[in-house]
Amino acid sequence: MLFNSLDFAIFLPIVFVLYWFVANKNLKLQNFLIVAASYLFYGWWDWRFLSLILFSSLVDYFVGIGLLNQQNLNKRKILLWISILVNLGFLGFFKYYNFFIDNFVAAFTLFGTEITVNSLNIILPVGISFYTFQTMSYSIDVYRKQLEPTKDFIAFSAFVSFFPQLVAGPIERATHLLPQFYKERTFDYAKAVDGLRQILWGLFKKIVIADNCAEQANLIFNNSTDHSGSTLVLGALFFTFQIYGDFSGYSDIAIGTSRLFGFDLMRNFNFPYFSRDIAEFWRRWHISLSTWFRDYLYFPLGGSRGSTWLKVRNTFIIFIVSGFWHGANWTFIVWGALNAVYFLPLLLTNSNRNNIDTVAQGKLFPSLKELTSILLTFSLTVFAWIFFRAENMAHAWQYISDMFANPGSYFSLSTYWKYYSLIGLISIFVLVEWMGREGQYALAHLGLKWKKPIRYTFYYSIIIAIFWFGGKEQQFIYFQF
Amino acid sequence: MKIFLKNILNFTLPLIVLGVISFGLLNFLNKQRIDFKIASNVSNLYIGDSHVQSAINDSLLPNSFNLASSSEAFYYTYYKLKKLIENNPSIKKVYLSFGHNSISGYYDRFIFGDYSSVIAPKYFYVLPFSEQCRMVYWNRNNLLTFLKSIFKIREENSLKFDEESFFGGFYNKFDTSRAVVSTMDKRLDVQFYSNNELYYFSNLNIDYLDKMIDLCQTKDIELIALNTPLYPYYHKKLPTQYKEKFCELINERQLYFIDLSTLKLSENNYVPDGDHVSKTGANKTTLKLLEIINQNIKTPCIVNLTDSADFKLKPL
Repeated sequence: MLFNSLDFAIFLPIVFVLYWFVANKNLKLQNFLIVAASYLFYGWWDWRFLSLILFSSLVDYFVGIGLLNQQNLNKRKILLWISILVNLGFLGFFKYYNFFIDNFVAAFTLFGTEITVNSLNIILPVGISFYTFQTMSYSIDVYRKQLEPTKDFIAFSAFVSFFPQLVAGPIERATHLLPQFYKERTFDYAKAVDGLRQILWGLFKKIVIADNCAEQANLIFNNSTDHSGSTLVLGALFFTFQIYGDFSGYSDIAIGTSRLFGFDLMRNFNFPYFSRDIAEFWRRWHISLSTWFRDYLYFPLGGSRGSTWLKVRNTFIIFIVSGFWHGANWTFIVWGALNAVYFLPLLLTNSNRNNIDTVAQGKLFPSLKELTSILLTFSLTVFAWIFFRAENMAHAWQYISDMFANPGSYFSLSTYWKYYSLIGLISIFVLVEWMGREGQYALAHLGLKWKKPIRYTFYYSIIIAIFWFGGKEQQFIYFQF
Repeated sequence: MKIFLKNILNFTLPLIVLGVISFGLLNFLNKQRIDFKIASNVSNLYIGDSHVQSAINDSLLPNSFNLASSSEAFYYTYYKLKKLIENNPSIKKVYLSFGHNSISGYYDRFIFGDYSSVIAPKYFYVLPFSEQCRMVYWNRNNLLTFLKSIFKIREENSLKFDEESFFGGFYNKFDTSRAVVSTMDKRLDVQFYSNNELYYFSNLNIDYLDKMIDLCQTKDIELIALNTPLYPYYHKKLPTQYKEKFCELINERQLYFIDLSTLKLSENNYVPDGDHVSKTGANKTTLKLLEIINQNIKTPCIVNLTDSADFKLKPL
């Protein structure tokens, strides 16, 4: 079920009413309702893959129970590896099987040996990368004794399958989300209204920004050889806003929806395109995944401690794995590696934590230095997104070489004029995001002190803009990951 | 909680009222704008999709009017025809564009698929309210785009059933062209295959074919199924199942059928996709049709399996 569909618009109020009116004051019933609603939400896409979620939940639940009763270190390790192998096994089979087979065959062919191994026609279950990581975090935290394993299977299933964040995150930690299923939840008016505001902004990002950008970005990327350098630059720029609007829009809707049910999910985006360096960008982009890799991969590898060589190695590992997490394609790996290259100078000069605060805090405009840093970081990011969006490496190289082939075209105003309405929408969007950058999301504080009629007009304008300027409905990009 | 729900209602009510009033007003005004009257001397109506639209030059036919329109599925044709018959008692014969593609699931895409927001809006105001609701429901997965396209029907689009109608009319811009194998392959793939598998038959459009038959019978109007010329390569590559189903539908329903699909035309009488004719091809087709009508020849539908394609096309 898509957040931007009529099905969800009907589903959400029904679950909301059942949750607060029928199951109210009965924690177990509320949790059960969440599980049922989540399975319905997921099964709407393809019910057959519900068995994967159920199996993954059962394995990690019993691994947790096993870890509770087991003090022997070796046996505890075996239990942890069962969880990791089952989850990564699912992921490996559904997401990476064909990639490895194809590259295996290609490698043998390179050395003159022809082998025949058939690729399989595998459907990638939506959201598998998200919920497997979430359940793994539970097993690892229980193994590390950072979390008491649950004996409540319904609460655990609700944690694994919680519908707002099931298919595209934020990837929640068991230590943060699971305890919320044990606590009695009472309706919080302010939280619910804030949730609705965040849903509204998420819908605007997805429907107005991402979907419109997607139409143009797809046209440009799919026919990249037909376009001038300036159009290719615009194509990369449109994709940059598409992926941000799409994914952060999804996260906003997910977080907002959770708040309607009394839950707090972790923040996933923090205005990443206003970052002053790449390190800051990575603290603000897909935060739940970055911190997951940091806690469960980077730190165990040694993090930024140790020799320079270890630092470099760990940085490359985490960025490449992060790229590979997005999909079985060399383009994602190169995208990850490129970000590692961007990040490395900051790490080696110990300046990766220079920009911790919000840019131009309390001010209307950034300083010239801040603006330059933002633009430079943004340009590097746009460049890296070309690899992320390209069909394959050859396409990426072709796109980049065509983009720089005729710099004279950058000054052709007619190209930009062709996209004036989309550029206008993006400009308004960037302006609102800038105004609201000190909040959890752009509308968190923006307009709250305005008089009611003005505030309502502002919200109505957003709703009408969603209707009037909304692009053709597109699948959420991160569903395929 | 009660305050929350009350405030939600207070906030959304103006929007809902605005939406309902706008839609109601638009629906009323557009329904008023549609004039279903055609010239009183027209007794032969040509209707259906682009095949008849581009192949039948009604200026060469007496008392005839071609109101076929590109990508018009039977579902739309039925409601259009119903209104035309109600408003024009002079209509005695209806020539319906009926090709193998008419029964393909591909045509459902124009009703509730990825092309619906392009095709559906112009028919939306021809539909009765219950069908309008059904269309909204069918298009729930692209609801915003769909609703927006309905709201954005432009004033300058003529909603009259006349020569310059938004709803169809003879139209052929191909002066010089010829069938191209690669284009035909693509065309066949789009029309009859989905992900390299044969498209399902559109039960919706088959139901509406039956409704048209019933409608014409009730009004004592003769319904004639008309299949327009197909380039031999295209004809040969039509999937066998479609050939069989096509004839089964015609024969079971004892439809008056005029088959021009095998009409021999020269190379340059076709357009690249192989299932439409050029301007010259249209004139030849129309004259042949006139000859058939004058001779009152009824053709049974026979499945010729000897020239059928294999079950599947080669992947493109």
